[in-house]
Amino acid sequence: MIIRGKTEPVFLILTALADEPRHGYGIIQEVRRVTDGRVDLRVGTLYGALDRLAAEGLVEKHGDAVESGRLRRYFRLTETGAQALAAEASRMAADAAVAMERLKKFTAPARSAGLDIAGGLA
Amino acid sequence: MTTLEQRYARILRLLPKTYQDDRAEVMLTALMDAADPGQTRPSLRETLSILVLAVRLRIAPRPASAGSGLVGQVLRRAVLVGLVAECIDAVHWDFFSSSGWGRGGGEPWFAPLEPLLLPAVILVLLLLGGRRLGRALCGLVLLVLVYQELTAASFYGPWYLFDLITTFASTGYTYNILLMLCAIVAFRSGTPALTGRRWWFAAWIGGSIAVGVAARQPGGSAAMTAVFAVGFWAMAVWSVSRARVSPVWPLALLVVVEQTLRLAFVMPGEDVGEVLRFQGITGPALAAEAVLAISALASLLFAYTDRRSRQRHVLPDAVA
Repeated sequence: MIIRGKTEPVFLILTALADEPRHGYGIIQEVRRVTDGRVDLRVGTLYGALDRLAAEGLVEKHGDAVESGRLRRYFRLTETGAQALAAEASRMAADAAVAMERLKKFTAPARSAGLDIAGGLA
Repeated sequence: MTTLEQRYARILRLLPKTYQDDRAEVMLTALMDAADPGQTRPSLRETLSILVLAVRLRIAPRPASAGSGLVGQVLRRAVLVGLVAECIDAVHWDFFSSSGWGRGGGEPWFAPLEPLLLPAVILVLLLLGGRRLGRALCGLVLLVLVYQELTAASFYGPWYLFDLITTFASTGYTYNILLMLCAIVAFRSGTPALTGRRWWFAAWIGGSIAVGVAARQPGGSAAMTAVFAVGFWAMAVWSVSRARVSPVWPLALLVVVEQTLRLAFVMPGEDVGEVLRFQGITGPALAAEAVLAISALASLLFAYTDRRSRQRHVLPDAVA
């Protein structure tokens, strides 16, 4: 299963739901925590992404609960979603491993000497 | 309702009406949770995200709308229950004994081995994601059934072999034509994936074992009656237990049982009707259908009133 139209927010939403069902704001908080505040999901973005993920069977509604007089809808990862997340995480880990391996062979280029169009080194 | 809440509620009105009905209240909760203490004006970024969502929902094809509505969910479950029932029902025909169905008439050697083949293959394909091939097989079965229906060419007709190698042709043509049509429509690509596949397989295997064991008991008709009655009542109890959650399961099971009982009472010439009457199952089946019908109606009414009350609560007239 491939995460269609995969973007970082989609990957992070699936990651946020991997350990337990969460409601909308819970997902926003978890994504913020996982990324050290780098990714701050907006509510419209979150629900648009959740709709697409639910349509693809990657997440599903876990239930509604009224807490402090407010209705919260909990979402959870499906088995298909867990497989898709695992596949995507493996792919990203493999890409990262290749990048790290190649970085070991990287040597910083010497400071550019620049081209001396007049001839000789600058 | 605070000023901020009223303002966010007004912004949420930008969303399509059907979307508002389902999501506005939970989105309002998330927006209020995300607001800073003392904030009175909606955040510009939140407002823009809702505006973008509203535009996207109106102009882009919505994957969530492709068969994810009530009808699609009901039909998918009804089709799978129907296919599981076909596969389980085939077990009691005793294909594999020398005196069983399909033997002794000069039929091909493989006739007793393959009665489960097509329904089982279609069921597995639809459950495991091979929808395109599953729907193609449904189309093939549909063509044959329609041909047989139009030409009255069942046994000893050109499609005689089809009668031998599938259960479809022997449990009511009209029922199976509807089943195949529903499968083709409800499992088109883009519809949501099914969850809980293991339960479908568990029901198939468990039901087959129960029917297989019961059919081989001395004086097996009483045991078969008990198994069918337990099956009907298991569906009725499951329907009642799901009625408060959603009308999907109650309606799906009502569709399936209605088909069976219609064959029993309205089309008395059909095989299923004779089987039900012969096994004394009509009483428990009728009672179970009554429970299913009541729970389906109750769940629909509950879903409707719940939706109306949420609509009134989330977006009061004062905000408009």
